[in-house]
Amino acid sequence: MFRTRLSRGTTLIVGAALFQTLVAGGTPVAQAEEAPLHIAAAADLMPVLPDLARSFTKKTGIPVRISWGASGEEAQAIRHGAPYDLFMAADRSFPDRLARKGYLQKASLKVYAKGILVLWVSKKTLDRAHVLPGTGVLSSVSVHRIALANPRLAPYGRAAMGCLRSRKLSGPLHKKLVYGNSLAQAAQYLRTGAAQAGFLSESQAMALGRLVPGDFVALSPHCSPWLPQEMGIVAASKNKKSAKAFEDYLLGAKAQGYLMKHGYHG
Amino acid sequence: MFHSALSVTVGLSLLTATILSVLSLPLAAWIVFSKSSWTMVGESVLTLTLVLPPAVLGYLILEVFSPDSLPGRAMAHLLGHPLPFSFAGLLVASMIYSLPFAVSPVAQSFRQIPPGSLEMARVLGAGHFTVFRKVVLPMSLSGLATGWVLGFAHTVGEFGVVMMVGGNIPGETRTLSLKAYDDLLSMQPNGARDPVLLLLLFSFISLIALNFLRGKGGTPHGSEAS
Repeated sequence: MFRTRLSRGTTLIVGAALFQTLVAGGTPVAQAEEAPLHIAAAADLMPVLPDLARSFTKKTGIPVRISWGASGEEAQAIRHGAPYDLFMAADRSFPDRLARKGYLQKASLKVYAKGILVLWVSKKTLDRAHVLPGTGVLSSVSVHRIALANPRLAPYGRAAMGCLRSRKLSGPLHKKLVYGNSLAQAAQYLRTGAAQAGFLSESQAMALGRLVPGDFVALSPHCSPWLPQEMGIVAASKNKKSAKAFEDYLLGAKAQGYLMKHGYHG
Repeated sequence: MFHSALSVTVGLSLLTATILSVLSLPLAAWIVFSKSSWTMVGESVLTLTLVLPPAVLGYLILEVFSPDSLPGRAMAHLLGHPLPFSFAGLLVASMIYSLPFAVSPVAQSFRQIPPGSLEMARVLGAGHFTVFRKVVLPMSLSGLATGWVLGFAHTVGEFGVVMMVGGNIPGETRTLSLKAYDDLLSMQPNGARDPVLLLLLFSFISLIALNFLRGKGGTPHGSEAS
């Protein structure tokens, strides 16, 4: 009796090992040929970068893998040796700091687009409060939660906080504020209706508007500054040529035109 | 993209559960049978990750194995790449994180072996290793299987640690749970439906397996406390 039980246990483990070999054996084959370019991208690029990456792959044959996150999260990962080739941040401060410490190639730093902070308000809230979107609506009782990205990790969150402070609203609205880890999570709060208003990049707000009814405005220049977004090649990357090719592609007329259409400026 | 997240999760969980099951035997044996007073400390260390927040564990792994540290450099030399942000790093993190889930059921089975049968074997002239192999192990197979399933299920469900240590790299360290998170945030119409359904399925099957194992009753000497 003991023997039959033992053999059943062994079969389980052997089966597991076999399955693992099959699974692990299958992976490298899938990513053969050209080494993929690995991009760490800020979450405001979620609505635009996958399409750009696809057309880059079509043009050059270089596959692209994207890891999303807040710029601060990714900067931290790069400092800890994450194997990214290109870092596309939502501002200049994170890449600049990394370059100063030698984690990014200084010469490769380039502003690829300028994004803008907007205030997004759900349609239900606008109807109820009979107003146009603006910071005034944030104090209304029909806005229970205001979503923004974590100001310490995400440049758009930092800009949103700066806007609220400059209008002396961060104190009174303190209890309504909810923070997403990245801009994408803040957008998710708005998409589900958990938050009724929030600060997004124009790119994310345009994508959100296709899914749920709502409206967004750019605030006064002081409150909605242009955010120059910078990219840079990771110094430890073994794939610098592909990274450079992607940088060039992104600064080209076609990619820039695409970005203009989706909430960015050159 | 989808298949790669699935194979990362399945591969990671199978490897983690299997390696931990093997490790759990000497560890549980030490905890249960050793007369040393250090076993109390040892057991506490082993179960530490049960209560430790994933962020703390992730931070510690990143710091200890960072490319600037001595263990990090040694590991990078050994593997050819730094440990964090790689599948190997994910495996190490998962093993630490799921360790108590694999060891506890085995230790529990060991504790339920009647001391009489161990003594009997020894009186009959069996050495430590023979007692372990011929008496302890056969009586603990269901505990071992439970530990394996728990280790597997817990690794499938990991989120915080794999997020911090893995870096969410498609095809290498992006697990199903990270894919679910990414999909949820990506503004796709279907959102995270597919990975979420699969994760539900994995969890459900694991629980059925656990209940099946419990129903089989563990040791031949009566009911197994869970």
